[in-house]
Amino acid sequence: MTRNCLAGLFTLWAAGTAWAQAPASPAQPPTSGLVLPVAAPAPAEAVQGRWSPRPRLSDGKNFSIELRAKFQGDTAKFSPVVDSDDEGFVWRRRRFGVRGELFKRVEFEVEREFGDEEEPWRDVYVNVKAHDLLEVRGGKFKAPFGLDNSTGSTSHDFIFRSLGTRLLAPGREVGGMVHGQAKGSLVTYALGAFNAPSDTRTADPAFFDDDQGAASFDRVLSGRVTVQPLDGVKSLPRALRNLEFGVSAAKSTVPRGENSIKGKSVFGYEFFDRVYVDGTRMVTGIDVALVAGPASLKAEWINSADERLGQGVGDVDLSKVFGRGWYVSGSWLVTGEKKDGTVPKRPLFQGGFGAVEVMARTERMLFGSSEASGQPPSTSPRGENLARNHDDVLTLGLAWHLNRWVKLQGNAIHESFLDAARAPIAGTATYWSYVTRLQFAF
Amino acid sequence: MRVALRSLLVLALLVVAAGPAAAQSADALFDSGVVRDLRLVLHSADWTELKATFRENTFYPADMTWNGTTVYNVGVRSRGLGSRSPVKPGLLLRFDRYATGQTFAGQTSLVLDNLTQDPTAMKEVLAMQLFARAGLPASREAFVRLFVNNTFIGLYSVVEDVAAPMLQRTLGESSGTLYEYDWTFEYRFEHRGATLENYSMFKPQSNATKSTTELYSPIENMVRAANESADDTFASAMAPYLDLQAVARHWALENFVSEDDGWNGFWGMNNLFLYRRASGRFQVVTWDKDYTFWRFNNDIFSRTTENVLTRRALEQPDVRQAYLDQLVDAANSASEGQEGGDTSTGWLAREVERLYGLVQPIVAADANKPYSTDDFEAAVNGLRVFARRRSDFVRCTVANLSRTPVACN
Repeated sequence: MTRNCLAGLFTLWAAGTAWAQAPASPAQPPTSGLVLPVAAPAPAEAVQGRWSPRPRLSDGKNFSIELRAKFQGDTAKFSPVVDSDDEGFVWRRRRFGVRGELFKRVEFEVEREFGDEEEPWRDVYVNVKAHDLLEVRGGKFKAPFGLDNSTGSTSHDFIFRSLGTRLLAPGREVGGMVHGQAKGSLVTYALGAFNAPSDTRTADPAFFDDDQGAASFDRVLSGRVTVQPLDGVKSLPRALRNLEFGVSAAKSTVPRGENSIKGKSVFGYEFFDRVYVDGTRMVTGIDVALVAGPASLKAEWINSADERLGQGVGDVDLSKVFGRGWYVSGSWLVTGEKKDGTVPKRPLFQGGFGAVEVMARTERMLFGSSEASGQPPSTSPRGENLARNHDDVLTLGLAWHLNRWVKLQGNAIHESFLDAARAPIAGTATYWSYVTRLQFAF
Repeated sequence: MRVALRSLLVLALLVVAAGPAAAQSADALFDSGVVRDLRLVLHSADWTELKATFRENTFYPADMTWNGTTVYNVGVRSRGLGSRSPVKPGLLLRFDRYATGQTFAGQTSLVLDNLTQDPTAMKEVLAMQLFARAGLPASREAFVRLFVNNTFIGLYSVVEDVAAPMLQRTLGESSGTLYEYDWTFEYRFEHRGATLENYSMFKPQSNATKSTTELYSPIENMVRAANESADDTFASAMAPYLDLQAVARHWALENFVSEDDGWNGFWGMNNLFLYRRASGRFQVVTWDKDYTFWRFNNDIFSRTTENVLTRRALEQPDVRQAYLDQLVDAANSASEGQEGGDTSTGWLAREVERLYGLVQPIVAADANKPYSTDDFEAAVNGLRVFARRRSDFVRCTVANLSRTPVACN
């Protein structure tokens, strides 16, 4: 089965690369029969189809629609092995979608995950662009929060997003958002309101589908602002002028009960159990990114704080339970391509070897509560002073961009837990995981 | 210098913080001469849920206060078999459930016996004292008034749990494997085949992460030896597993207190722990002696032929003699201090009156007990009869084995 899937995937890739040789100019349409004359609104122009870089139909002015697809399959090895079921091949994403534009003002997207029968729809939204400064989006899409969270799953440097993002950031929900940008992308903003369906508020979301968001939220108000303060400073090197800072915040209510955010390791093993909460959840984050030519440097800090009103023994208020995640990461395209887009200069089988990138990330995911009470630390779900636990993660990665569509990634992940008793294997504090991912996306 | 001062300050703070908890001793906790208050504070929703789901073993966090000392983050759950109650729940307290290494008065756990199966409320305490006086491992107990969220729940006995501290105190070691016998069917030490899972009624309470083979092979081997060894090799076949004379003393004490729900119980084996010592031998540890003191004239060999091990062991002359000696010792212990023919002055009779004086007003105020105060008074009267007559009956019956029998009343 797995072999057949892989074979199919590569067939798609091969077909794609072959089709990609066809000239992309509307003036010289490919001869493969994909030019589809269709009756269109005035001014009447022939609707044309092409692959550049994905299947696309467009009249060149008022209408365009693209077919999009994402396939990601992983294999993993562990030392020590926590659960042998985690080893072997697994599909992480099998998605198809369409994205289009009408009259330069209205954008839409519909995307479905074919590996998720329970909640298959991903992005399903309409975006209306009134002005660069004001766009309005409605439907189901990702709440604006964080740098890592805002990076598309296929263009991410690492196989898995940082734990702080996977555990703390709000995910994809139904809602509305206003957003815009000024002076190019000197300043961007986004502010959205979302309503998590009641049946998913307390459930464990699909942890590996990190587009979904791992935290249980209810009625999220989420926003993000980014600035490039050095953009206009022409005396600085071009690379430095790309420096971008971001600030994010999300506020929601959390349903009363054992509904705090669960601390999970990279592979989903619990290292900090849920505790009783009631009140509001406030998540804040700051980030910085510098993309300069073939290299990038990123850092992000996210903090969540859940109120525990009346949740102590004797029904007293408790200090907030927090989750705190940060990372610093860097990447470098050793073959010299620019980081933006990462399109190999010389794709494999087209006279080259593709693009090769190395990357590293160090991060910590910490959970706990205030230690000010003087009470001894405990793992009680109603404890005033919750015994802290963290997962320190070091990820070393290698990515091989065979061409525009196909990427092979390898990550070596080292995890170290503060409290070995609450590690995936009780008493064993450190773990190595070796993950490879084959990605095909257009 | 500054570092030294800071270290001293930290040390002083630690001493102050740890002082009250450390100051409470197990002797004070299990002092059966007084009845103290034991207060638990749970979240109101947790207490409601614990009572609503009293058949489940879900732990809830609580703070416990006893004799002026508060212990935070104690795990509390419903416990018991037939004694489980939604009104007056039997409770297990685990001090290390949420705080690694936390103890109280040297204990990692405590049992709060709800006394719902014993209208006298005293049988468990009396029986454990008799076992301890005989030098057999037994839990210490004392009475407490239990309050939960400032509401009086009733009279309970606080019982030293059979766990590492108790094993260390009574046996001098605790690193072996402790098994609690979990009654699920009538079992009388029959060999149940080589399938180790067939012996899972012995539930490991320590070293539970060991493999099934490590945990249950010794039990299966012992049971096999008890069932399949020839008569002339029975003693040597059992020697690696049990000190048969020591087990016989346990059976004798159970018989003396007219236990109907112990090793040789009406419904097969029940209410016991097995502790596998570092030497590999098993030690029996008694438990839950509230179904006792029924008949002062209980046959001294009551049901001893029903259990395979008991029957075969008591066929061994030395084991049988140890059994009879222990019966007489228990009789003498219970009547210790008796003044002439006045049987109301023996130790057991005096202890009944002492405990009665302690608990009577609390029992009268206990609105959650599943019996009336009149039932309590009647049951205590039955206990008084037992206390006054059991020793003479046992001594007489044992003596009859080596003389022309006389009537023992």
